[in-house]
Amino acid sequence: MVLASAWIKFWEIILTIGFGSFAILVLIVIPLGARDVLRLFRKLDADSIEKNKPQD
Amino acid sequence: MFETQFTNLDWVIVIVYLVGTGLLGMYVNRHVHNASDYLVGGRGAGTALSIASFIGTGLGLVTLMYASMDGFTKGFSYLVVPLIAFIVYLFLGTSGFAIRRLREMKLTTLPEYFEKRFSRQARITSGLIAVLAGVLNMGLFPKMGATFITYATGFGGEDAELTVNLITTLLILLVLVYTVMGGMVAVLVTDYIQFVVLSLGLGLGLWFCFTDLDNNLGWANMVTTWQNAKGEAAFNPVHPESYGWTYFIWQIVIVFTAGICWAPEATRALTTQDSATTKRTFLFGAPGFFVRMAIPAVWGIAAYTYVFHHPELHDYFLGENAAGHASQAMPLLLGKIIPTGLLGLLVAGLLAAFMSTHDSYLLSWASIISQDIIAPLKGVDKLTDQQSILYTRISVVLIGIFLLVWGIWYELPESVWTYMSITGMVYLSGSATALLGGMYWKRASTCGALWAMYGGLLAISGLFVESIQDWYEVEYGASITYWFNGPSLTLTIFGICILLFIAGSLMFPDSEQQFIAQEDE
Repeated sequence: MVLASAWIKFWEIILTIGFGSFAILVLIVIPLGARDVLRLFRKLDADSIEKNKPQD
Repeated sequence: MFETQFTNLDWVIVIVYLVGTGLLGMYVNRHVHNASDYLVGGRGAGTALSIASFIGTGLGLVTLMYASMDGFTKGFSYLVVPLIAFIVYLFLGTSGFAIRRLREMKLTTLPEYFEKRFSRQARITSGLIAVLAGVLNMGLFPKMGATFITYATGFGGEDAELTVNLITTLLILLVLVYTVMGGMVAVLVTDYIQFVVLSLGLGLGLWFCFTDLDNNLGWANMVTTWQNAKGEAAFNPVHPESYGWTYFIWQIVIVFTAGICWAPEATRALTTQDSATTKRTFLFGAPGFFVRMAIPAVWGIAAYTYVFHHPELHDYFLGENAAGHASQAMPLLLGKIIPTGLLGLLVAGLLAAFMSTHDSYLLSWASIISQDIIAPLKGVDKLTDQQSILYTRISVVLIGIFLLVWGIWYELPESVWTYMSITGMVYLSGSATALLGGMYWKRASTCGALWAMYGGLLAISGLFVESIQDWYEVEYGASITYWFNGPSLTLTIFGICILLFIAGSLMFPDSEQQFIAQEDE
């Protein structure tokens, strides 16, 4: 019974750390991810224009 | 008994969401200008987008289903698997072990590594085995997705098989159209949206599991119910009545090797801007890899608690004929405890997650077919952009047809996670040995790599373990389950692959000429 209680406490701590760190990650990744999407589109279009430029 | 709070309003939300995501996938297609854009998003994904996509790929409806199934049957003990993932990804992210080198080699697919390090034959062999293992691995995905939708929306019941099969077919068609149209840019963008919606959805589901005391849920009720039902085995993963030590070691091996060379996840390491971004993606993605299995496991734990306290469901889920019903418990629970409207949003998010996993997986395996099997067999170093996209799209459709047939005919096992681990080992045991050996052991040779990869094929026998166990018990009247099971068998095969790799490399070293060519690479 003592061992089971120790495991219960262990999982409680692990879940708190895991869910807490994920919540922080979500708050950071959502705005920065949106910025990266726009940058990706710009990069892909710029690369394509660069490739299609006529050679001198 | 199987009614849920899913109404017409929820259907409208789901349809609007799915159509919107599909249109977005087609819209971003205008930014795809060549094969590199289609297959690796032009290697232009920044850290935040890479993390979102990395987690979005792993955070599929399928993951939620298999984790909840094990949560339902094994309780809190299953949390050891997400904990292992958390630690492994933290390690890979901080050390850059293997993943940094892979990114620096500027590969499009993983089997390309085997040509650069060993030979073209090694690349083709690795590609063939990766596709075999990968397609078998995802063989149950559509059926699990369909099971979720059927039971969360209230269509479930004892005669729901036809409904599940029809929804399986619809889902496969939807995901095929979407993947063929968009490619990796669509994957990256929609993974991001899925990440946003799912993060909220997961939190929502968890909130109700922890706060719905009217249905006997909440942390204290869940702990007490499990303690009374299964004792210490519900919390201690190495308890003899739970998973045990062999399973624990097996999971460390699988999660570690999959993080490095399981194509859908490892491809994320190849699509980043540089190797520093790859490391950051793994490091900051670690909480996501914990949560993607831990939250559904808690849902499964809550589903057991719910069923335990509802006598009308007791027999169906916990009675003598309950085998095969574990997959239905979590969706039914969510359908019962989450209010209308929010339920629609959650189902839409999970359906989107289903598509997110499928497009990544389909694209990963299909690009291996086109780049690592067809191109080398045609004797060319590189396919043209048009050929590359065409072959990838054809492969996506062919895999989709296989999924349809396999998904409808194959019965869901009691633990889908174990099935996936076994099929994953077909590729991982040989290829991870060859990949890591090739990176960190100078004397590694083509012969050693090929022997290891062929050795990995033995892991297919893991799919027949239960039949062999049953046969032995009938034939000899004794159980061999303790020492002959999926984990012990595939771990032994992994050991055999390492021995084959060392023996092949020592007995048949690469020629001097081959060695110089590899050094130049």
